[in-house]
Amino acid sequence: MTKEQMTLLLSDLTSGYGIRQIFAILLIFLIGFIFLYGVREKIRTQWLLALAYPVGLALWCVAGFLLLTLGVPFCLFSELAMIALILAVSVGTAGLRYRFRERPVSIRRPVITLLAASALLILVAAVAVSGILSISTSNDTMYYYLYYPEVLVKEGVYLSAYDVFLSDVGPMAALIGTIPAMLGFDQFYGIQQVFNLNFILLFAMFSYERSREKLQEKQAMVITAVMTVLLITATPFVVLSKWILANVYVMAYSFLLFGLAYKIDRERKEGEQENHDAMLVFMLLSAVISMLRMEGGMLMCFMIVCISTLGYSNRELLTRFLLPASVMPCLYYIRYFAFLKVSPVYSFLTWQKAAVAIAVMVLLGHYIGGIRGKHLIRLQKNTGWLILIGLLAVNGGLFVLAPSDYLVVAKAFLQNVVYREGWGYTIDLVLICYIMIYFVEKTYKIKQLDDQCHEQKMHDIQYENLFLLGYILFTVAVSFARGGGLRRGIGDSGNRVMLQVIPFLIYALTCRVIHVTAGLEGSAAKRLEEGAADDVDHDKCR
Amino acid sequence: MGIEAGILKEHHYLRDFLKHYGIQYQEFNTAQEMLASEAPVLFCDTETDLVKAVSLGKFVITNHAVLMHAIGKQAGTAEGYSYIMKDFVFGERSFYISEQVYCCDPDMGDVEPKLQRFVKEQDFFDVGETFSPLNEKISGACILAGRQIISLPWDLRGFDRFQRMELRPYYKKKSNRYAVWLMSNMDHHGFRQLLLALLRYAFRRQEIWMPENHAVNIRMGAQDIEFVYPPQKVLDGVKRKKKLLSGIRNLISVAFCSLLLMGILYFASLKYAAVMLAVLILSCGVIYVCSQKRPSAVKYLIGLFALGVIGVNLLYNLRSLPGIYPLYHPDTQARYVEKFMENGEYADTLLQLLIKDKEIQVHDLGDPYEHPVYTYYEEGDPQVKYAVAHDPKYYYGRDYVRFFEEFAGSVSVDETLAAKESFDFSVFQDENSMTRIGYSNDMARYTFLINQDEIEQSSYFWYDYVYREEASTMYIYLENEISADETSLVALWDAENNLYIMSREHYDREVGR
Repeated sequence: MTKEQMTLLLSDLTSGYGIRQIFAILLIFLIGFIFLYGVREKIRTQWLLALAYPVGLALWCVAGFLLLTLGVPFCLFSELAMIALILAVSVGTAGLRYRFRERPVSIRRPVITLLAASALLILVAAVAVSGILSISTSNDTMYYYLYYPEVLVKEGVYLSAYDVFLSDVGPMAALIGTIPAMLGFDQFYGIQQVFNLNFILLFAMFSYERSREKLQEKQAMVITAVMTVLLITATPFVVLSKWILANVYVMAYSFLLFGLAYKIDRERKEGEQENHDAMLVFMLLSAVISMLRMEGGMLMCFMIVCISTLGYSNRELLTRFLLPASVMPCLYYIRYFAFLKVSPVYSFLTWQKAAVAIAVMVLLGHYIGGIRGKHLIRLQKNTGWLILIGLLAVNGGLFVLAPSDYLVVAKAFLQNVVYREGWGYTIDLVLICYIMIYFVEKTYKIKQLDDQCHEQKMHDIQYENLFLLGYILFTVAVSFARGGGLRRGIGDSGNRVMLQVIPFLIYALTCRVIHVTAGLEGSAAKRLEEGAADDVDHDKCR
Repeated sequence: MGIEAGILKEHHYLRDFLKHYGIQYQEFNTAQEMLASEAPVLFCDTETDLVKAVSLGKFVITNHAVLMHAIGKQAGTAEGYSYIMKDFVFGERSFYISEQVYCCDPDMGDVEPKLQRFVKEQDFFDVGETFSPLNEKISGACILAGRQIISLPWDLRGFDRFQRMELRPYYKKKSNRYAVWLMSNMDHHGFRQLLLALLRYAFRRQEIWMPENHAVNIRMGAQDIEFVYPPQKVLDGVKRKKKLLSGIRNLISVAFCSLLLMGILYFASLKYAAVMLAVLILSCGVIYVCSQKRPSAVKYLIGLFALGVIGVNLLYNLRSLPGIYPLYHPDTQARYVEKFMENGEYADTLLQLLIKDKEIQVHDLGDPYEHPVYTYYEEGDPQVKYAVAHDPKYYYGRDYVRFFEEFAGSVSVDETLAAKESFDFSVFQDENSMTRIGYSNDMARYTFLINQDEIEQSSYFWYDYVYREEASTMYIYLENEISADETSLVALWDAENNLYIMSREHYDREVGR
């Protein structure tokens, strides 16, 4: 059989699938749009449109996850019914909270916006499913995220026969793979490509908003464009975004939560938008991240601790973040340990790990509910540093417990960076960038970010730096806990999890560049003033 | 007891404050909701109609920005450092409060007469003064107390008990000396006492009595000195320590970056290390020269460097990455990509698509198999590295049938088809009529998902195949001329468990020949 014959056969077998995938993309977007439009009063249109697709996808996953863990037969009808139920409850809750105050009476504007956005999305989706954009696959792609979801759709329930798949595959990520099986096509490469393009747009929007805090519009646009292109070309981003695996979703959703938490906190502080708490969006994102991969619950705990350095109240942290991030893993653990009683030969998920995860969640709940802002106030003034010291201590503890195993993990990470296993030259170049920026700050006497931090009475460590450093330490610790040594190689699970740091790294660099550019503007203005003063003095002398 | 005070939902600090002193309060989403409520005293830091609030008989504690906005003006801002007051009603107080303050403009010249009257009726009087970090009085940054309004220079919405900290001088009243320490940016005790005194004033104006369940220092003529502006020596000490701390932090971060970079370069090739170091030194050198000769050009240099980084990334992604990371362009809508044929990968994914909704004709449903009695190994027991070994017989035909039953339209048994024991399958291995599209080991490896058997066999196979490389390779052969429109397909397997998929015509033609 020649390649042409094979292409012909595949084309015949999948005729009409492209249209179905485009329809699926549109459906996901519409679900997200309805959710966001229903639950939020004052979200700006451009943000609503940019968030609709990932939110829609998250809703699909959460709905499917609830069906499967609660033992309700999982099929297209029940999935859509569950999504409708979640939408109704969310919109109803939002309505009760805001009593439908200031809700726009006219439906015309959103409909026109929606139609225009849908038309644009169809164009983008057509490109995404056309195969112009390349993808990468591996064994995990084919079996964890395409074969297993198809079996899930066929059977409609979690069965103990799934065995190691139940313990190793992120349940939420597997549910993305159920979309083609449910809507009658073969793969979701196009769905992921649209997700990637959407993520790039969101990264640019977050960067632009951050730039506008300090810079003029034109400068902000230039920096946003350059840093976004830097992200797109960064090898770790290329690797993760093209690889059909769960990592890209973990990366994107955790960055989204990180960025939204900062954005909304800032807007509330500035009083731009009253009652702008994005409760249901945070709940949804927390729920989906907690089960995208098996370590998702722990990742959420880390994220919540970082978000607690912002201005959210304890109640908000507990209800919007910790509650969904705990309920989802607990539902899964109950189904896995109590009903299915799975215990494969090699298992990522063991009852010990589940117990540790629940214990960490309970401790975090105690900290937020009982300690944060109430006791040890002095210590809490340095929460950011404390988080980093805590993570260092955890890593130190693991090293003491099993020094040789820990060294294997640390060595594997270093080897993967050094031998460019999916990292390319990104880390080397970013480090040079950091050193250069420091040199510029020194040479041009630009006030250091940390100095400014103190003068503005902000946090002890910048939020984005805390996330970046914390994420690295957290990943090393979690990879160690995975059991079994990590290895050198692009496909190593630990390496892939570490690659997820890339948007945080580029975003932190963006913040630094924004700061330096603003500083350079300031020093240029100062020089001009000094120059003018010198000229006056000179004239006087003459 | 009814509601005594109304606050906005973002007033976290006030919520704690009121709760602590046992004052009945209610939270509101907006100022409008608060105005419509029954609360007699309102804390309102968002733009609101103060004239209406006063006319409704409310007492409003607000800030200068809101007050100025209400009379059609804009409040200025300044950096505050400490607050000092000597007032008979509110007491003698001083505390550190390093916050941005709003400043009132006393000029009423361009204010509407109606609003001028409103201000006059309030009969505002100044309470205390805010001082800048240079200990200079900030004009207009006092507290204004009127008949039904108190206007503060601070916006209380941004206040938090523990969020903000800084290196600052701290006045120790007992020993009358100063210390420099990382502390909150305000003396909370002093500030809360002032708030309490102001609230008592507001309550008295509204003829409400404050609860007396807390011993509070709010009597007339009270003295509460929390902060006294320190001598220059102490301030220099603060500056020195700030510089030192910042220096240490920066040193650590730069040292960390440098060490990591050195670590990477140490492991990398000498040539690469030399190039990277040269880039770094050259960049720093150019920046230095630039700062001396043409300072404004540095922005362009940074931009150029960023473009360089993007270029290097692109070059690597296009030239080197494909070597370790295969990329495919899916020309069709199938998960199976034509390139997979080269390495024989994921042949079962093609099969899955091919058999969808089709009838599959097989000779039998696979070899009968009875699970042998193994020495019992508890799964997940760390003492048992792997189970014994897989039994190839378990797979013969059985898993193919399971696969067909799961993904095909139907499976029918036709005993006239060639049986594996009695037929020479080499006729189906002719490249001119059939193609070996890949191996089916992964298919067998993952059939445990769709069977209801004891899973040991699957696990054994998994380990034998993936880790011990002891499982023989099984292949899938596909008819070259097969059409997507076939409604039924013939599936056969030989003694080595190789699978052959073809149309009925092809089968008849080949077997008949």
